[in-house]
Amino acid sequence: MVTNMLKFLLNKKGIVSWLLSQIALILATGILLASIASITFYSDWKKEAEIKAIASELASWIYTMDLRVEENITKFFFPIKDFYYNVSISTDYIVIERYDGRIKDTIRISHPLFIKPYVVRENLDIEWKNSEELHEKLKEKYGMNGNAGEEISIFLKNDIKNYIEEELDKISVEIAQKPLQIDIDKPLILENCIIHFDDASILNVIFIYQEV
Amino acid sequence: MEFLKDKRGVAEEFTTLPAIMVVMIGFAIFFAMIATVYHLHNERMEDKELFEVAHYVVSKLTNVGSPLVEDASLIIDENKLENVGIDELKEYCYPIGYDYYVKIYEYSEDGSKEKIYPRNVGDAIPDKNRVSASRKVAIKGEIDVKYGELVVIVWRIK
Repeated sequence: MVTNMLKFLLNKKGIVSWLLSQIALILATGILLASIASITFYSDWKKEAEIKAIASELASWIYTMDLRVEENITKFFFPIKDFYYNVSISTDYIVIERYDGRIKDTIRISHPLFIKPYVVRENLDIEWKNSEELHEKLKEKYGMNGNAGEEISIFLKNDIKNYIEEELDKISVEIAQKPLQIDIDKPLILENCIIHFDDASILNVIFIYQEV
Repeated sequence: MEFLKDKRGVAEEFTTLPAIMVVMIGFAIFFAMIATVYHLHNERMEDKELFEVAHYVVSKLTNVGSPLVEDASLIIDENKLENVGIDELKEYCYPIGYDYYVKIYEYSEDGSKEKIYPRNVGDAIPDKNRVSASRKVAIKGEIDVKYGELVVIVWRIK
């Protein structure tokens, strides 16, 4: 066997073809495999998907609140993850950022909301900041607070709707410039305020805030 | 580099070229599959959002306060339907960034269904990128309560 092999090793006329295309092939394959592996295992799409899921879950809770027909306060707890993430909410978007990206340090997603909640934060010039205060304001303005048992006349429904929309538009700009920054260690309060009218129809206002 | 001058040498028969070709085709197919899966995933995510909106609109329109339902009983009043336009529904329930269309069908005893809302307006629904959600409802007619279906078709406003 050794004798047979020696025949080739001592032959000066041989060509080591491995030095040419085979090595190039191995290199090319290696680079391609590495790039696929990096796309699959090391890129940021999984990290982005994780925060997208959190935003989507919160948005679903907000929509569910709007479908409730009874007044309700729900505490939304943010999931505990092995990374830090920052959440901010405006009347139109939920924005979540995390800072452990590989391609870019900050991974940021914004989830648009298709209903407008009344987002309350500190230093906001508003007339009411929760369900109770809104009912009190309605009592002061229209004589009835809009609770079940103290319904407001249906003829005032458009007025009240316009009043609430005006207030919402007023804070929308302010909140868009400086959204509500969420402390993810504390629950987020989602409050559904129902204004009752004497034809048994209702009007929903969703409050979002965090207790300091 | 003696072998370059060696006239007895043979040209390499390019055995690696077919191998390279197979590898490259394999990778191309693999990349194409990844791209397709990613594209499909994005489409599904968009559809999921549309379904969420459609579900929201169906729930809102069949709930207390809707212009379509008899208050508290949640039964759709057929007499009310004649006076409720699609614009009135959109004023009541208006998901931002989306548009929708509502159809209500009534089932007869033989199982056939008839569109009772809207009766006269033509459909202004885009051909694609839309999803629908429906819910079985009770419809109160002149004499009795019938079985029906409320269908909502949702699409994005561009």
